[in-house]
Amino acid sequence: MVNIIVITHGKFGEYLVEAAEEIVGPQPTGVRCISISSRLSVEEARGMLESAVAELRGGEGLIVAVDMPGGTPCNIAMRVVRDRPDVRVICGINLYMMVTAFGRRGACGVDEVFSGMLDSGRKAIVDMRARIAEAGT
Amino acid sequence: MSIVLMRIDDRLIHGQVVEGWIPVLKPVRVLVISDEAAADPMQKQLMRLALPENIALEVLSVAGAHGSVRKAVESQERTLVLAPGPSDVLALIEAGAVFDKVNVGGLHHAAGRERIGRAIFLSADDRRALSSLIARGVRVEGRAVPMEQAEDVGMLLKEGA
Repeated sequence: MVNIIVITHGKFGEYLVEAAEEIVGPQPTGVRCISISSRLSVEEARGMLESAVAELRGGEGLIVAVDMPGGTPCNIAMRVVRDRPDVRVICGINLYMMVTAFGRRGACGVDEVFSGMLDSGRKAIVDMRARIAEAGT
Repeated sequence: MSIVLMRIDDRLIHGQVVEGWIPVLKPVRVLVISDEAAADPMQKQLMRLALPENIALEVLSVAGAHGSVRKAVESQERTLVLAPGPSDVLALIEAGAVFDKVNVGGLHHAAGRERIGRAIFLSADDRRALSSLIARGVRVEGRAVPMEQAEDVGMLLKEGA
C-alpha cells in the first residue's frame, strides 16, 4: 500500500480526500491530511508533517501532495523531505489526481501511482468547449 | 467469454469506472448500451474524453446492441459493458445475450425509488427486472468499485420484499 499525505491551504485537502473516497471508496489507512491555517504556526505545521512522514514512510512508498507551487504547504513539504529522497512530492493536487491515487495505491507501486497522478492531473485541465468542438469534427 | 464486466450504472462512464474498474479489469473496449446516450452526441464525446485513449468505445441503443454483445462474447478482446438500468440488461438477455453475472454499480436516488443497498435505489420496474434476471440464474452483485465488498442483490430483494 502506497501512503499519501495531503497538505494544503485550509481544509481543501480534507474535502478533496472526502470527495475522492465517495468515488473510489474509503481509505481507512495510510492517508493523512494536514490543513494549514492562520491558527497554526509554520513550526507547528512542519512538526505535524515531520511526524506524519516518519510514521507513513515505512510502507511501500510515500507521496506528499501539495496544492500550489511556492505556497506554504509546498514550502514546508520541501523542507521536510529535503534529506529523504525516497519521499515523492506532487504539486497542484486536484480531484482526478486524488481519485487516481486512491484507485491505484493498493495495487501498484509508488512509481506507478506517482506517474498516474501526474498524468491525471494534466488531463484534468481542459478547455471543455474547445475539446468538444475538436472531437465533434 | 470475454465480457469482463456487465455493469448496471445510471451514471454510465464516470470516476468509479475509469479509476476503479478499468485499471483492475484492463478492458480494451467499453460498450455502452443506452438509448439515451446513443442519441446524444455530447454525452458520447464526454464519455470518450473520460476514457483512456487506448480503450475503444462503442455507444449503442438497446435494440442495436445485440450484434456487438455477441461479438464481444465470442472475441478475445476484453470488453466492459455498461447499461443504465436492469431493464436494459433484461432486454439484452431476452434477445439472446447470456451473462452469468451482473454487477449493479449504481442506481442512484430519485423520487419513487426505494433503497435496498449501499448505492442501490430501485423503482418498481427495476425491482421486477432484477428479480427476473435472478430467476434466470444470473448472479447479481451490488458493488460500486472492485475494492468494495460485494452485496448479494438477490438477498437484498428478498429482505425488502
